[in-house]
Amino acid sequence: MNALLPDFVASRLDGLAQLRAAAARIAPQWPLASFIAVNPFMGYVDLDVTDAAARLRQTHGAQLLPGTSAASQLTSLAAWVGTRKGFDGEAFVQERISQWAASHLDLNRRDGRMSGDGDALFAAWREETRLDPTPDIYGVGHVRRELGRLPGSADQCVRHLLDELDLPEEACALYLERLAGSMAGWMALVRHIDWTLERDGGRGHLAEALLCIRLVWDVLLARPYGVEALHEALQSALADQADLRPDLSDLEAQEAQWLGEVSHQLKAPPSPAAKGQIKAVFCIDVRSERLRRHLEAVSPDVTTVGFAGFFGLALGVREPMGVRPSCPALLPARFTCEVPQTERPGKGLSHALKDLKAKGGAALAYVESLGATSAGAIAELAMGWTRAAPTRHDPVRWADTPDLDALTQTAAGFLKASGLNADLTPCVILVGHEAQARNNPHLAGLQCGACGGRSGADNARMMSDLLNASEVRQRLQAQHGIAIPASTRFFAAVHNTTTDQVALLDQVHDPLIDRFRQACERAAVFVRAERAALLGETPDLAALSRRAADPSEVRPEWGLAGCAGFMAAPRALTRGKNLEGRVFLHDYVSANDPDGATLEQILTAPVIVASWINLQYLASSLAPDVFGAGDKTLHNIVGGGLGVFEGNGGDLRLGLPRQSVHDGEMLRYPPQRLSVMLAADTARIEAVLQKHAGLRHLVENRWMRLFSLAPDGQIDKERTRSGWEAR
Amino acid sequence: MTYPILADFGLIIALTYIGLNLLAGLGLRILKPRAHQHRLCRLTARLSAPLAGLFLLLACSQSSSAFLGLVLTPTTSILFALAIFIGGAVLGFSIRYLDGDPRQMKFLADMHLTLGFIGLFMLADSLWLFAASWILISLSLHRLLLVFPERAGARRAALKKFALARGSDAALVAALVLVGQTLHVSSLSAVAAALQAQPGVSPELGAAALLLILAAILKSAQFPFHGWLVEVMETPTPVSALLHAGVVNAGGVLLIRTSALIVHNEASLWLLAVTGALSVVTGSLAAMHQGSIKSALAWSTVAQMGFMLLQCALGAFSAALFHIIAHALYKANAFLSAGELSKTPSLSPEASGRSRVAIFALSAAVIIWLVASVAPAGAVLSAAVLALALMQIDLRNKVAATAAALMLATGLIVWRSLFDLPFGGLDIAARPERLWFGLAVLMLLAALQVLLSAKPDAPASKALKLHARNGFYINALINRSLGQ
Repeated sequence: MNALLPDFVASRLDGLAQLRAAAARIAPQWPLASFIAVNPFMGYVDLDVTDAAARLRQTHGAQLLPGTSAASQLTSLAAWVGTRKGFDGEAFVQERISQWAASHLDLNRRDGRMSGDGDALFAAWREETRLDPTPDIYGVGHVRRELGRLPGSADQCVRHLLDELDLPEEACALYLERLAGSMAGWMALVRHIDWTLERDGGRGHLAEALLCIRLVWDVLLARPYGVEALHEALQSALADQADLRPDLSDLEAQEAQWLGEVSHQLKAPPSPAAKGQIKAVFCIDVRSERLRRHLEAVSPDVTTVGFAGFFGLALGVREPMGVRPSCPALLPARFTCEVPQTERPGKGLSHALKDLKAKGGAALAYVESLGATSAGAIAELAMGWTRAAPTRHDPVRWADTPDLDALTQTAAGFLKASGLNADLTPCVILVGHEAQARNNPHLAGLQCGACGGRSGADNARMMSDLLNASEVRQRLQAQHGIAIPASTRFFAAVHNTTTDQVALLDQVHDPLIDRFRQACERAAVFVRAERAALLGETPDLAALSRRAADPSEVRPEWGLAGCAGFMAAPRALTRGKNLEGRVFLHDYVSANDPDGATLEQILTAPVIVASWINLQYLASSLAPDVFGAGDKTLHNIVGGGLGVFEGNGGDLRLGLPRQSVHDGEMLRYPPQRLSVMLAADTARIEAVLQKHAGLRHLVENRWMRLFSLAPDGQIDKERTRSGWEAR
Repeated sequence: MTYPILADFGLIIALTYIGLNLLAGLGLRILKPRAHQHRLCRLTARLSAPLAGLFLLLACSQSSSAFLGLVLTPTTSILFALAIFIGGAVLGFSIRYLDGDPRQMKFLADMHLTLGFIGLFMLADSLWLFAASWILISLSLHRLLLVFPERAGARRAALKKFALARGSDAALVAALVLVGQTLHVSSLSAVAAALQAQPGVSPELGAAALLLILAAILKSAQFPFHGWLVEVMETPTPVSALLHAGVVNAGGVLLIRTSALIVHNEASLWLLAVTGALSVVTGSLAAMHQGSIKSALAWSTVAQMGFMLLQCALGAFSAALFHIIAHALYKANAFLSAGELSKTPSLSPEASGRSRVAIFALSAAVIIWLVASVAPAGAVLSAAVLALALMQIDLRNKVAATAAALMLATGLIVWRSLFDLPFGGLDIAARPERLWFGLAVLMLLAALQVLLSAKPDAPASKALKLHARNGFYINALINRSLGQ
């Protein structure tokens, strides 16, 4: 230990800050019910992508880019001790933490364990670990005894232990990130609490506390070997950093090829704009692109618009487990709605019976009494009968008295940003989207990410109801100068991306709606043909419905796999162009955006979310062992839906299952970074970049590519680290 | 009424189906386009459900027949029906589940082989065929446990399973050799008759009974030999379903088939009762506190198998047979639908009202205690677990709780009564002491569960939960001694 007081104090303060910085490197991951895509490198975007890849190789053992295979993951003290004691120390600590966390953070407990209180988390862990005899079995029982001698709070422990290690600053940062990387899944899970609290102006300390727990394990395990041995182990590990030269050329080649194909498409003359009476607003999700293209091709009545699928409405839906956000993760839910509780008589009974299965000895009688009722399900599986569970769209309503002024403001924002504040047709349909699958823990990842991993139906319904309400229309006219013609009606629909069926949420009989329905049916035939080819499936509704209803289906659809571009442009530039379901299409007309506010909004919200999705797929494809969830056939739901284990245990898994990106023989799409294409003036774009450092980091550190489109729709200039470059 | 001719036909059909499975297992790789392999699997899967229905009817008709070392009795018929039914579901599930995976063909082939051997085992009558199919199930299953041989956890679980399975093989073979030589019989069905002919049981037969019980304990993953069973989630879900709904039952099947012999060794029956009871308590407590769904299901199998062996130890073989069937159906489905996220959380009920429940449990216990002297052991044991379940019912919604209680009780009584019509004759009256023991153990489990839910934050509860979650450290001890 350092004997000099001034140094002592200084290093103590630094230690805690460094631990916090290391914890903040880990990107959040949401539990399964709201499993939305997040940029797994969120904490590393301040580094160039190649530097981050080199660092992630050392800290997470992730081989993201070619050229990073030379050096291996740094060793930890746990691993070092394990080697001496004859067991896998890293796996041992991971298993201890993982099993404790799975039980402690279980979603079935509703007692505020997810409140962001790091000290409570640390104290609970300490209390339990002192009771756990497993370390004694492995000959490291001293950990339990020494645990009692550590200071009380997590912060004090961190200071104390880092002080004991007394590492140089950079080495310490690397070491702490390495520890975080050894349980990245659990870190990511608790980070989602901290991150959400921080988004809303608060502060959470769960990730710090968890990292502190890992640090305690490491240091206490190694303590009997003396500080010198510790240093030796760490120094040799830190010195053993071979030259890492991550190589971007594979990604760049892939992107160049794809951009070439897109340029070719964009060069073709655009299809003439239809002057139809129906406007259909779709989510920007890449899966909408196919349906929009074919819908416009089969019907002159329909023009389509692309906007984020929450339709600007930051909705929250009250559910048994609390209010679930139905809006992008970047926003807090502002307006709460609920499904009117129609108490179905059998519901309480089936819940009471189901409950018994999990209650130890009660399961014995449950089996004798009701076990045979499973015979139906077994017969279904044996015969291959699939029962399409119809997706229910129970009408939702406001949970509290709605604040009409605030809602009107939201509605006005949506109309302006989507260009619906003018040229309104008699029939406007808001089309949310949803996926359908059974027995699939990661189903939420296929749902609408802009609706928090839920179906987009509720947002479509609430927004269309809002825009039909006369009080809102009056306020829109009076307060925002937006006149909705009396003849215009808004409808809500939902696009099932697994079967490509479009369903109106309410029973309406309207000639225009009937035409829309027919157009959707005709368009869907073409969409299914395109999608079925990628799935190796018969191109018909029956086959795709089978996928949606089959409990043994691991690839109900490809989701957003292959997402490669984001285009904010007038629809005229992209209409009739086959973008193969790989581009997020956001309507944007720069002439209608004199102050650039809409552009700023697009760049700081949908573009960010699109890059999160793209980087999640990229990470799960390139480094599936670290940033992918592993094989679906081994998935094991943890803690009532916190996430999955692959097999018995190990770390909570990050990212997407192998089956979401891989067809068994090869990756469905070679990974590439998102190419953002904006039909806007470069000076405008630059102004937004200069204002938002996070966005600038994404571009300058090469996490995504940014292009401007010329007025004729050609890819014009690229923003690189050195500025705008002509292509 | 019996129809031997029907049973003869039944056996021929069963043999054909077993043959189809074994042929598919050996020859699947010859079918080149994957679509053909899938079609063959779909065929075996689709045939299973109607055939299971047929064998269920045959079992109810009390027909029997025997040839080629196989026997069709109501017991073997219903076991065969169960095996192919579960097998069909597992196969049907695997077609899409592993689609695209290069390992799928080998997987489906091994699955067919395993199912063929299980079918053979359920019908086997000749001693050597019984032993051979018992061993072959385990060997082909070993391949299924190593679908992902690169996973260290998979290798470890397979190794444990392999070692224990060889132990149970040795015990079974030794027991059957002893039985065959002492009684001069070559088939299981001849054992009961031979025993009737000779009064008193020789020490050799006593040893054989002990060995049979040991083989069953090892096969059914009883505490503390359960390690592999709760670790086999390292292989695709359908294998877990097959293991937990098919293969672990083999121990119980062995005891039911040799019931006439094992009831003659009191000491061994006590061993069986104690092991089963220990597994009921540890398995139930562990299942309640696992962090992942599949671990919870696996631990619950340990408890359910323990309960089934306890039923055997009390001579309640029809109850044990019923429990095997009900559990297999439930557990296969539970594993195959383990990917479904539950929408409503199952919250632990509030501590309030727990004292009432404790009183209720006590009174239930007294009633069971009183009826125990008159009712058959199997019924008493089922009544006891019913009481244990009733006291766990969530009381917040009174109407639902009452309905659930009624449904649970009615279901249990109706099923058991129906089942006893053809199978009640399997029971063999045993000495009542073990029943008292079994009831006492269930009371202990009830008391512990009351403690856990009424005082979840008491130090004793916290410690118990921790130890239960860690499976009472048996696996840690074994893994450490394996140097991992």
